[in-house]
Amino acid sequence: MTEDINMSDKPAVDVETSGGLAEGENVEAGEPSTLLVIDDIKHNFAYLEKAVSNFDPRFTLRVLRGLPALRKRVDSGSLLKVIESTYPATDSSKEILLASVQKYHKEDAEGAAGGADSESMAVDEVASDNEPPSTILPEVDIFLQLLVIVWLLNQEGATEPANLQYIQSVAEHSINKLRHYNRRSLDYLAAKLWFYYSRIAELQGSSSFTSITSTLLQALRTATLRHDLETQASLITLILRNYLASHKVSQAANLVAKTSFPESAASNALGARYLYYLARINAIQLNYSSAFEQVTAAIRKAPQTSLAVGFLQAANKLSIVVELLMGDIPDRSIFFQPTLEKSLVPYFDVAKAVRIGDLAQFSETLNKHEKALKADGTYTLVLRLRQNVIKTGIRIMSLTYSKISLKDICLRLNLGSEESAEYVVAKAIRDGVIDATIDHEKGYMQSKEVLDIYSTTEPQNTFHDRIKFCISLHNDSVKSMRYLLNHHRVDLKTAEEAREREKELATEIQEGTDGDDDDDFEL
Amino acid sequence: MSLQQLGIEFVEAFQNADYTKTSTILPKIKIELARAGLMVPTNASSKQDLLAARQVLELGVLACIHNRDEDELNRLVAQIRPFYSKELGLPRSENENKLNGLYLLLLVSKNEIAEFHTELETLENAENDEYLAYPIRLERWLMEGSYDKVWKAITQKSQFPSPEFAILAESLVYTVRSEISVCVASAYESLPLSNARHLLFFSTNQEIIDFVHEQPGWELHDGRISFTKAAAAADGDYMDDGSAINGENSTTERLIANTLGYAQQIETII
Repeated sequence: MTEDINMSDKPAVDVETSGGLAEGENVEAGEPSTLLVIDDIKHNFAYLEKAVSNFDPRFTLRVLRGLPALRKRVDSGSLLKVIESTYPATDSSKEILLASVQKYHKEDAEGAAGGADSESMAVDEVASDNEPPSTILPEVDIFLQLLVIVWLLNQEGATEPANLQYIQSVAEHSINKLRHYNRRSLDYLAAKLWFYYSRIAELQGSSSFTSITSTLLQALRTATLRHDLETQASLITLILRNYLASHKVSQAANLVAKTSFPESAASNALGARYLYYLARINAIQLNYSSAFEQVTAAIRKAPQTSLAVGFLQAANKLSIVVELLMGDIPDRSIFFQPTLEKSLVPYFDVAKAVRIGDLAQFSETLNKHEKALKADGTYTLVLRLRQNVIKTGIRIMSLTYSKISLKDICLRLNLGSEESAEYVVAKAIRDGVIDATIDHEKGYMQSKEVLDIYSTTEPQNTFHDRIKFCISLHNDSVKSMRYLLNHHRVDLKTAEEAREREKELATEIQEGTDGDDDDDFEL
Repeated sequence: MSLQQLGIEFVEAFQNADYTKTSTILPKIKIELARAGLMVPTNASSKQDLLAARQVLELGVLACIHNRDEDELNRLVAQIRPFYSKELGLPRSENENKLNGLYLLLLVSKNEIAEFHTELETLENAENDEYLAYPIRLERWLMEGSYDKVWKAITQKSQFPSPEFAILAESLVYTVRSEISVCVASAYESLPLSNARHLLFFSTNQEIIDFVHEQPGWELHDGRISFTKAAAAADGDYMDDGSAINGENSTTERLIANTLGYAQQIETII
């Protein structure tokens, strides 16, 4: 049915396409970069083919790593040309992709198209004679769609509602297509595609973001049944983000309890994101120590490049709040990391207030930074710090004085009454914040002698924890070393291949730009 | 009886504060609602039906509180939740915050603080709402230990935003008292009876004496309560004199096990 419709639509689209191609040729003549980009895209196709034939996802990963760089370089002309030459004529994606690229393409250079029409028609015919692809590799198909979506998102004005809606329709088409394929070599691409699908929905505002939850859950089910670990990991993080954005914490907690995150398969970035969401859930549910562990792990796992600054900022904010909630004061140096310093100012002030144990200053800080904290979604967590401020105050007092009257405590902590102070101190004693007793009749708090920590087993335990961490780090690194399959047998061959590849690379560098060797990779 | 009639009867019974009657009608209404497909709200049903169903459920929650039927209350709160979701596009119910506030108070009184915070996270601008601010304040005071403020809030009538809060707060009295008793036992070595009575908010001496007898490890002589035994019993789990030797043994064993572990690991590395 759909095929038929597409067929009947074809002529109209073809006219458009030829116009588009003419554009492409024009640009080519003007600046060789278009050719280069086309070349690059085709290189990526070759990697994808290799990934499929060798069952090695590393090639796919490599392609995806290059995506951000490629995204900045592609233009409509090169995209049109690549789409035209790689898709078989009957493929349904072809028209959609062409149309979407066309949309921006026309705006780009309407005027320039005029004169070259007749000439380029000829060129176009020759080109299509040369490349009559009958099939397309699913991986290449999805990759191209992904590239177009990413490119569309990068265009000026892409965040306007109408444009977003349009991009979403393109993404939905890709997702639908993705469902028909069941190939493990697609996993990484699929994960990426889902990510952008969700991102587009999020950009459109909260209502459309919550509306895709069921789609994502469905996809997660499919991915789980197919043992598609990468997509699974990506979807779990997306759904968690979705839930947390609409404050559905209990649903998020249920999801975490009911699914198992494929820790080993997922890439580090996904793992970091997952840990961050876990930490947020745990922090809300008062599991501060596990939240702290997770957020610390997330910070360590996150890519340490400038691209991940946003994530690092969010993670560091959470980590500071959780550390404060646990009753510790974060290290001063955390606040002065060059990339984070500015965004952490509110948290620095909060930490200062907690450290001093001054309730008045704490409330003042809260009022001052309320907006920023609410925007970060940490306001409710910070509110809980009030009790920590009091406890710190009591602890400082118990360390400073061996005996202090309840009245003084009340005055210093700005508590309402002496009675309140008595209860608060009693609770602090029970919670193990301080080691002291209260004399009710005389109305004072008597601190007990501070225990020498080195006479306990505490140092030994800490030592053990550190050694354990080092050992597991070592073991993990040993485990994650990778060796080629059948490496011993194909030693010679791979060496040769490597040399060849090197040579190729060298010639490429020497020649700089030519599209000569793209013949080898053409489909 | 049709759903409409039942609904009218139910509202009437509620307005007359006839809570035994409401509890007999409510199950019938629920069955009818389920038949009409209104138990789980969807966009398919008409807005008027949904509004009516929501109103009945809201009143049901309040009636349950008056009947002190906690299980039914939990069920109803879960059932009414979907009616408040924004996707339905219903006008905001004026009872929504009140019900949320009551549910929060229930969680506080059951000491389910994690659940409390999870709920709180879903509410926006909670502190500026009269109904919501009440349980939030209570939780804060409980956490920091200002039990006298909590006590005032749950015993003085003027403090409650609505009469239903008073009923839920009743159970909080026991929670607070037991919290205080634990704190007192660890913070004092001994305490005169009259002071203890004051601290634990008992009005007569007999009550405090009964209370003291119920507590394990509290001893009463010469008008003083001594907690020495209680403290020792609490500590006994960890480091009583008798078990200290055991503890030492186990630390030695752990030390040996750890060291052997390190040796093994180092061997594998080399």
